Amino acid sequence: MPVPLILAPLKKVSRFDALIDSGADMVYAGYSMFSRGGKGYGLNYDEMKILAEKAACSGKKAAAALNIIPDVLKTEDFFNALERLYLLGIKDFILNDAGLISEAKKKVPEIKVTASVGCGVVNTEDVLFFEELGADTVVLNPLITPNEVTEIRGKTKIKLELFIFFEKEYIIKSKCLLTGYIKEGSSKKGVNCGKICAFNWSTSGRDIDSFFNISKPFKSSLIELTNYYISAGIDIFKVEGRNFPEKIILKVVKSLRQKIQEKRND
Amino acid sequence: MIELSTGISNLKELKETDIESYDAVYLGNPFCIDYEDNFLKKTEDIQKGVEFLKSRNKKAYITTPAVPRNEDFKFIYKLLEASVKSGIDAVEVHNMGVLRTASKIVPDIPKHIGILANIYTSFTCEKLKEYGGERITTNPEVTLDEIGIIIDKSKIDVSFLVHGKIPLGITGTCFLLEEKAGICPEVCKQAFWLKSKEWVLKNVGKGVYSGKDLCMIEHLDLLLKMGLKYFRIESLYETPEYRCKLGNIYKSAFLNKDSGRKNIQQILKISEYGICNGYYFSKSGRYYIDGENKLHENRIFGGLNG
Repeated sequence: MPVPLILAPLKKVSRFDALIDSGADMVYAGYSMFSRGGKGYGLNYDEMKILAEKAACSGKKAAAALNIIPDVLKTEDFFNALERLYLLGIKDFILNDAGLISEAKKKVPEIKVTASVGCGVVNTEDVLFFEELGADTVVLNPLITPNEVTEIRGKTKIKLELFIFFEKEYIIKSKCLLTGYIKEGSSKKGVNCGKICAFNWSTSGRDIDSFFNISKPFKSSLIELTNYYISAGIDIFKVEGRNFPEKIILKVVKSLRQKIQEKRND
Repeated sequence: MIELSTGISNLKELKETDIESYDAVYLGNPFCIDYEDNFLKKTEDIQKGVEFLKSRNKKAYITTPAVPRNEDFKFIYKLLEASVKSGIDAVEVHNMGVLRTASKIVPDIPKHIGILANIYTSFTCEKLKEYGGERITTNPEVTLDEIGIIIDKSKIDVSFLVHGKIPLGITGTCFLLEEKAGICPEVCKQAFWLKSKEWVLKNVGKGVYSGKDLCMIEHLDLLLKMGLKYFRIESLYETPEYRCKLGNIYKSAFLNKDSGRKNIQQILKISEYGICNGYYFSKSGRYYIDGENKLHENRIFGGLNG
């Protein structure tokens, strides 16, 4: 049985070794110009260069997340940035739009592209659509059950990736527009998610405590189902990182590595 | 020629609505297959719905589930087959997997890509044309400027949300049932307003809408100059009276080439929590810019007092 890889988030390039030592097989980092997480989030060009060098030396992979939808006037900058990163040695990219994925593969056919969770993949036909588009990996929505993964696995050879640890959200990942309605700017276009679903919302005549209110802690985990997802055919387990401190991420990666090892030993 | 359309979930609501002002209706509720007598599940009603519309010289479109899981595809195959037999004019899809399926099962029926499909770029529009996409509705977060570029670059027809509550999200499970707010399918017929500070949202069980109605009545000239001709009023979870009144206002405005403030008071009587422009002018979705380009941030844009 193939052993799934662990993909962990890198927020500071100096912490690359810490992530790998805790058990990650690959890391991903937002590219600051085109990454979700708001202004200033992610690695800049020079830091990406260091990351590419570290990845090459260690034999591990590093992926760049250009996972916002760029302003329509900045599309050329978007693809230029992707090509520059490729020339640095970054071969793997995480994108969030069908058209951008298709265009990226046309411009730089050698890259590997992950259709990220923002692409809204929730069924087998979705996976096949993105496979036809040219994606090399598809991130499944964390709603997808192990049984559904088995069904998908039977129909495609594309790599299947799953968020195994992620931020709890009220609305299905990829379908939330709350931030832009309340604040100004879209989280899909780079504005930091306003966590609108976690505000205290009330409805007339009802107790406010639980109505439309994501309670803290905001983390959600499928780690207890790791074995089932491995048996079903997941290739990559992804740990979400944007809003979690590093010590939690390292703990999750270690725990996941242990689970995978135990399954391997069975 | 302008086409004004709206969405109606089931046959009963279709028959209860005076659709005279509309040119087309999208049959079905894409948020929840279990919505009472949803066309998407009660496929035997599709033929009746199409006949009802055609007898009134209206176009009949069918929508499809927005977030279908694998198990939902047995409904989708049945739905598409029933749609072909009934003479539907187009299939609306909100999911790429459904588009792929529809392109194989009903290749000759035009595909409209719906507002929940996350269409942001002209690149995506180009790809979707390969699957039979003939008309797209951009994601609500796409601005007017971006829509103009999409029209220009991809040469695809664009359906424009001109009025109604903005769909802000879909959930995997029904929030109202989880909170024991009532019994399915009756519970989502009531209005559940969610309030926090000055913000208002509408929860419909498996979906969340803006509390305000998006309203572009004061900007119709601009929209027509952009080349837009397909306009949609969002009314899935609204009353037949709402559908009829808004349809009349907009149809009259288009026909008579009049828009502007004379309609606003009428609209505000129908829109309980006020109006906004959504994201069209690159502002917060809940703000309203009037025909004189004045920005209104208040919770209820009423009395023209800003």
